[in-house]
Amino acid sequence: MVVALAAPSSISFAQTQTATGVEVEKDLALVRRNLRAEKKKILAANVPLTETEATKFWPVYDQYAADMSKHYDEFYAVIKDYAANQKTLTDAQAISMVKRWSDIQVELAQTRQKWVPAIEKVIPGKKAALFFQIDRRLYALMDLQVASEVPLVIQ
Amino acid sequence: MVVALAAPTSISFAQKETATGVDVDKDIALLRRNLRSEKKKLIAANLPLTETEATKFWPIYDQYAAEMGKNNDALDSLIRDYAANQKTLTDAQADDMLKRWGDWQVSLAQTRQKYIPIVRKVLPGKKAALFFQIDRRLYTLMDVQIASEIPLVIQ
Repeated sequence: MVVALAAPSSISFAQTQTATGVEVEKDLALVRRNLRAEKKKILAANVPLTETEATKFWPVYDQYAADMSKHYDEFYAVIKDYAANQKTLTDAQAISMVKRWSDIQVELAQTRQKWVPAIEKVIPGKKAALFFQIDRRLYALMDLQVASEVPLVIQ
Repeated sequence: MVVALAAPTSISFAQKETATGVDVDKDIALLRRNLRSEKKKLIAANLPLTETEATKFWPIYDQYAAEMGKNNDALDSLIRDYAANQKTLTDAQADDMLKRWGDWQVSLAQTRQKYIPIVRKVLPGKKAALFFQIDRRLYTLMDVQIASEIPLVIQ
């Protein structure tokens, strides 16, 4: 049943140096486009749905993915700000970015929690659990990729 | 400055088969003990602190780690329940576990959020940011490791 749960292969930040940091905008846009499409393909290949279930599930999934994406938009905006100002970052800017990042983490968790009953309305509990298990695994891989690529705060 | 931010090496779930699932109790306990001590060592090696900063920071870190640890107790219990009943899981059990898992993620993110101003009180903004960056990277590695080791829900 499980086809491919490795990390999507096309993620990378080819960072362009600037006077104050690095420019990651184009790279982030590319990463996100690739990840979104690959994630849906991997889910489709690994969550076995009947035709009736699939008809109900995918529109709900698209709403959930769009909701999660809004938080990731903010998350990538924080990374972009940070990367652009990395060499000249002040203490105040650094802590402000950590707060924004942390707020996004809470919102992401709340959004995922909010969508559990909505997904369970359209597919049985065990299929919903499998969906969230694979979905979470993919987000964890994406988070790890991003966390590893973002340069550490210069002291 | 950065010594080693690779995944701690000693993580594994050596799962023992039972009639209804797998027994992961001892493995989880071992995993957590290893991760907790390795995490503190990695943070100490990568976060440059003056003696005065270190004296104030480490007691706060220990409180933070203990609080995150309590949250992770909930995850341990969830993984144990799931693994033990994996072969006979019902839709209702899967639903209950999904809810517990959603609550755990929110609670973990809120704990991290709560500690940002507390850590900021004892460290300059950029050092506090570096701490949360390294800490998050290590938690993300653990997330991926755990998510990859837990067997997928059988349909």
